[in-house]
Amino acid sequence: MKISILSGKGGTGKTTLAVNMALSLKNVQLLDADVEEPDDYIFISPDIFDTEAESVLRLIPEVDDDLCTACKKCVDFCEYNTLAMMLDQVLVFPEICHSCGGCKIVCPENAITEIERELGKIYHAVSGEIDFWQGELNTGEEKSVPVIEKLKTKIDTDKKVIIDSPPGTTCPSVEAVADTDYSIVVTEPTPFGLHDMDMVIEMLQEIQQPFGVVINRSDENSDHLIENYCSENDINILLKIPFSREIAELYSDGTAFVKKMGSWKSKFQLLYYDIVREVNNNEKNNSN
Amino acid sequence: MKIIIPSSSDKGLEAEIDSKFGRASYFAVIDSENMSIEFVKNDSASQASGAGVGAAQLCADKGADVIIANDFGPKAFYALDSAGIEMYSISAEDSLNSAIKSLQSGSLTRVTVPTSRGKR
Ligand code: SF4
Ligand code: SF4
Repeated sequence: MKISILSGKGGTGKTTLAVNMALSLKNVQLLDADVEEPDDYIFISPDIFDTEAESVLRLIPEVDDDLCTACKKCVDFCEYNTLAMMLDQVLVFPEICHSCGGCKIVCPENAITEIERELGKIYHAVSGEIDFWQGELNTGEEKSVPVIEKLKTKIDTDKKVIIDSPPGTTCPSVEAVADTDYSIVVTEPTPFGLHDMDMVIEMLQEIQQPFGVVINRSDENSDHLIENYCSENDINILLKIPFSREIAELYSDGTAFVKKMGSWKSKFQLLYYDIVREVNNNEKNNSN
Repeated sequence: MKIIIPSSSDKGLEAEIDSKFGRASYFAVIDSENMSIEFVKNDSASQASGAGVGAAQLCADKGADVIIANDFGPKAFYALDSAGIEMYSISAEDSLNSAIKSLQSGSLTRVTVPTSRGKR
């Protein structure tokens, strides 16, 4: 079973849910795919940066100025504006290159070669029952999808797989969700939370991904914001994590709250098995 | 001297400056000798990536000597700087006309580093 965890914006409670759920289960794999700002490690494996990382590489063009005749064919070809011709010299902007290799093919002078560049890193640690993997995008890089793709090659389907996905609704989030059996959308019971959740749900419906909602910082005076929306749209609310000073303090100490509030473990286990049941039911219905 | 200014419309010298260089709707190409003006549509504005680089290329191809804009992201800055094009900053509310007057009176600040982080 592969479950992806999503939210409209960062700081909504994605990390809280991902790490506490992982810590409550056995034989589990946690993948932090929030590659621009991975922070699950703080709660799972704070020393992860001391371990050796695997590079995620990609190819970007390099122009040999001695061979280049400034014909501009490569610049005109590249639809991502990765190349520019300034004073008869080709400039390369590697951060926005899609590594399609096209410019090398169109160059009539064979002036373009491809060189490897590190885009990001993959870290690995084992902590208790958790097989933990983290993807990280290098500073200044803009293309997180290849890092997420590489991270997902580490998936072990014999384990319960939890993927902490990048917030938002763009390609990196879609890439993280792809091929997972179910998604959990984490939200807060505020007008902003509702708005951001709505956008994520729209994206999930577009790609026909089954999902349910978890309310973080739940509070009986404001939960109706999310509850009304969910009942109108026939969406399951799977769990509420209360607004609690204790949880907030543990979080800022870098402690996952299930470690101190043991009774929550069974709630996260139930959450997991509720999802398993729903996925199995969906499969049955689809095959009928 | 050729001055290029990102413009929100193509309605002559009273048009307003577009605040984002890369995503401007038009570029006003102004010849300071005779104040002739040509508006070029910015095709990069709608592109998902590299709008700043595409816009810089367009300006270089049009033979810009000077660009006046509100905001230069890091990639646009590097591209324009490599082409030897001078950049000046101005507030977004100005019209093209007053931007040129400010340039000629020497009251604009030369941009020597990118003015924003650009778009991820
Ligand atoms: S490899 Fe593709 S995306 Fe990269 S510069 Fe060449 S043509 Fe553009
Ligand atoms: S296509 Fe080749 S020769 Fe032409 S400008 Fe590009 S690198 Fe230079």
